[in-house]
Amino acid sequence: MSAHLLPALVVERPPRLIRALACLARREAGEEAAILADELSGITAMVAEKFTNERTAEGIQRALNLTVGGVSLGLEHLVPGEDDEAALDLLIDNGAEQAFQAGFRLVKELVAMPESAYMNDFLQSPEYVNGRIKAVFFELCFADPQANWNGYQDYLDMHAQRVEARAVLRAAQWLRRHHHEGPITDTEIDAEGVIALAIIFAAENSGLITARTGQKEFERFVSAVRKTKPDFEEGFAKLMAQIPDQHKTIVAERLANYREHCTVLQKLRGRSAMKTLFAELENYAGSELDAEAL
Amino acid sequence: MSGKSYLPALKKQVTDLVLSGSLSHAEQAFTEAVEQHGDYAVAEVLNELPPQVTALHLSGFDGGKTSLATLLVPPKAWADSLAFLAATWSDEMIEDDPERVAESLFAHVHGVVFANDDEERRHELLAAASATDYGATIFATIFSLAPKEVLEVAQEVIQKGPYITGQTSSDNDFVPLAVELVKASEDGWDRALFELFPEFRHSADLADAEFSEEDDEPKFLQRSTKELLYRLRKQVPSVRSMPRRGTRKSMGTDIFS
Repeated sequence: MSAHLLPALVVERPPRLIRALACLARREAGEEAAILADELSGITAMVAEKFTNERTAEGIQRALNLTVGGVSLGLEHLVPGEDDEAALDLLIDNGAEQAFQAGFRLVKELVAMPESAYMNDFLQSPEYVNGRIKAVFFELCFADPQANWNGYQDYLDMHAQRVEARAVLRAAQWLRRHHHEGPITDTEIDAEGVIALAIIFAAENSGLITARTGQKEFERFVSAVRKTKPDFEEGFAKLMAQIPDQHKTIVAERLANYREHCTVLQKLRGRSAMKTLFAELENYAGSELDAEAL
Repeated sequence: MSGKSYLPALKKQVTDLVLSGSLSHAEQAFTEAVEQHGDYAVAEVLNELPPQVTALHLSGFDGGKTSLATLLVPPKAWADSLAFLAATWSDEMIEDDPERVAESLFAHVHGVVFANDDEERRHELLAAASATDYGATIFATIFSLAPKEVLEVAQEVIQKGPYITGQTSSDNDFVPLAVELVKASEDGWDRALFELFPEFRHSADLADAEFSEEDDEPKFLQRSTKELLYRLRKQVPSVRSMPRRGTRKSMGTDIFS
């Protein structure tokens, strides 16, 4: 039978809490169910007070959705896999509050990680972070008990993306600390820009790390390259040799890309006007071009 | 030290021991209490324990094992505790071997009722136990193991009232219990009987007619052991009204920490 004749496979995936509670129905009646119901109501009340509105039915309803998702997120984290009986055991033994706390901690940890490779003071301010906690909590944990829920997979995707962003930022920060004119302590950082600058300037084969530049420095760099005609690859190798192992992959990935596609490197040896080259550089360095040195 | 002030501590100790599964230690605590303060202290403690704890403790001692608690449990406390016995039975136990569950129930009731030769206490125990709905179901469950003999006793009761001898066509352990129950509380006996045979009528003619049937199959509705066990389990009272949310304390808004 060819594939298109197969019936569509619709997999039912309610939130993990709901799946765990379904196991409860198959067990002997005990007071666990009552205790669990108490605890879930308690969590809902606290979520309503903090995030929605504990005085309206709609606020309570939304808090209930968030509680379902919050507890489910915690359960997915604490009891990985498909064992819903084990998830239920955890709820009974340790309490729904602990599961919710675990889920909420995931949200907070996620928000504490950089969302992209760009960072500044505002993105680290408590006001912004608190707002993001609420936004991400709603995004991941607003779960309809009767519908499929993908919050944990979304969490994993967001987490992976932030791990990558954090790695890029850390690599860029290392480059900044080893800038040949002394460490750059600016709180605003465009990590991709920093790495791009370091790679482009490595072409000069001076063995120095450049994490920031201005127009004058760039003009000096272009003339030096055109005069001495250095071996780019030798320069890149010198840069890579200085970078510690934990940042090597990040920089190497970008180096491989720029070697092929970076228009600044391609035009460096030609006769392009300085103005054109500088404009091209802006595409790579982003906000890392030193405004004062322009 | 007066016995009274000692009681709350002993009560808590026994409750904790029973709930943690250390029945023998709980029993030992009783023994020591008897030595120091006499039977009365233990009876008093048993009277005050939550019935589900009493049930848990007593159900650990049936048939072969004797316990101070089975000797001393006050009739009312025992009757209350019976309601909780069914709470520990799983569907599987009831489905797979209902007779075994019923037999252990019988062993428990028999063990407590016939723990000593004190006829007055025996009748008090039976009267208290059969005074409740679950008590009636418990006796009906036990009698469902020997419905024919129970019908014979029922017929004799109709003829002779409480002055019965308990002579039946076959000897078994259930008849003496049935006879004692009749003597202790005719009302309780009737309710157990109706629970087992919902269509039983208190008429000598009818009983006679039914009894004269030689078939093994009763011609009228009899509840099966399994059915009675399920009925019993449905009657387990909820202890939810007691303010007890496990041992766990809410962490409050720390859930956001």
